[in-house]
Amino acid sequence: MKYTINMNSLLERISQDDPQAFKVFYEYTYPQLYRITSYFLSDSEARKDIISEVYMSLWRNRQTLKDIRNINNYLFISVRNNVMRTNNEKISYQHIQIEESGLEECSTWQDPEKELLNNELREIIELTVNNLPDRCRLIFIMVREEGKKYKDVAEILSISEKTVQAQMVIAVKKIGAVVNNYRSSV
Amino acid sequence: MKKRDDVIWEKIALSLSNEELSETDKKDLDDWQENDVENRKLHDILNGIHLYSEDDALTDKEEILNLTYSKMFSIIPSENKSRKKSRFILLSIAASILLLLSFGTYLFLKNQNNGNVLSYYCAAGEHAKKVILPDDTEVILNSDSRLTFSKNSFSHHHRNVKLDGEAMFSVTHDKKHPFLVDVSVGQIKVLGTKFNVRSYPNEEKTEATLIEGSVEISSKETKEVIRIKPDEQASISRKNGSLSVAQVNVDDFIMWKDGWLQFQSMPLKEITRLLERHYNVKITIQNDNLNNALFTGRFNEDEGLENIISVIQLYCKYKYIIKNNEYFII
Repeated sequence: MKYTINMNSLLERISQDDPQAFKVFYEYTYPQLYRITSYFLSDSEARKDIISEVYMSLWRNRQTLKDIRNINNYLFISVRNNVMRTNNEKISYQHIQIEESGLEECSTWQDPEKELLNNELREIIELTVNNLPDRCRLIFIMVREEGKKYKDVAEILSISEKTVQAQMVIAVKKIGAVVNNYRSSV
Repeated sequence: MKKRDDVIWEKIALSLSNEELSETDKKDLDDWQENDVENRKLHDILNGIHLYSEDDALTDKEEILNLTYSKMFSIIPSENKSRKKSRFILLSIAASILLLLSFGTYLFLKNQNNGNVLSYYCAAGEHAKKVILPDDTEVILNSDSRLTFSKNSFSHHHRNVKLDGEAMFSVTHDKKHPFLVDVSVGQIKVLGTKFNVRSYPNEEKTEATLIEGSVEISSKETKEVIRIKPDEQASISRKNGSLSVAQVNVDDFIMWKDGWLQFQSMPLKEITRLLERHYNVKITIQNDNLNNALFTGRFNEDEGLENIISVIQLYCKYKYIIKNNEYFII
């Protein structure tokens, strides 16, 4: 079996009822979908439900798949929609952790800024981000971690770009204040 | 009511995102950092924040897939007139999915055994093959080329691939996540750009040719690092790892993706090696004197190997015979 991934032709084939294409799509998008779902839900059982719902509704709507421009955005929107439909009590956003400065195996360049982040400061920043209001934190993660543009975040969460920007400012100011505070007290 | 203070934070937030900054934004940020060394350190720290995410829980992957399939099977068509047809489609899909489940599980286990290493391969004799990576980067692989990456290569802090052979990359722009191409003698680092990499194990030079954007090339042996601009080409010598840069005509180096075979004062030995790879056929030069005969010319792969060999023959003046699908140049 030729294992060449071309998202457009994959979606085209799914829209033509091709189950093999669906399986390949599943294998391919599962890691990012799992990650996206974890931003919304901390309970792993709830995550399983949401993930299968997302794929299920994708299959159900397979006729319209060819029009999808950005798969990552689509997955985000689908997760958000499905999460909203479920019982609100289940929604508790996943606590984030900040990565220790470790080098990827293949990289030969070292990031100098990583040396400034010691363990204690890392924990403090983690606490700060985890304590941000839910939507503010989600926006920060989507922009910072998923690398999404403000416009995409706005579209996915059905809010305005100005709101996205405002929330980013809130998040970054809070983290900045905490960092400055820590550094001046050391 | 916006506080004046907030304006700089807007720009700081922008700089931590994937958004494009205007020239004024960049200047204001530079000024802010120049003003106080603490500001610069703060920015460095903010830039260093990367979130750690859970493993993809691969153990759940199969389970969730089965859950999804069971949900898919329970779709019941509602209109009477189309019921027969829909049920037939549903049944045949169900049958193929069942087959797929067993085959798929095998593939899944097979991948697991490789430590979750995925590779895209274009075999010798195959046409150039286009592949799209998880970040939407487009890669066109030339014959006898392999692109490898693992489950962790596309984690969301970096993008790492390994290349053996030749490929043309159109990398999705993402300044937060540098794209790294590992070739055995060195590494190429890009932010968002189009470039061609050629690194065949049996060739002396590894070459990176830049079409658009900017790349940084480093040699593993000498630890040199060079940044090149469009229309420049960096080469790493396999023998001693030395790095050099030259101005080139980029088109000459990416023609292969449209099936063009271009030879620029190329010794016959190299030409035959290229043709072997391209057509998956063994070509032996029996007369050593011919190894360094130079040829300049261009062919399209559609012309066929024998045609190409016979045209080159007119210039390099050799004879050739074909025996058991092997070419002998004498």
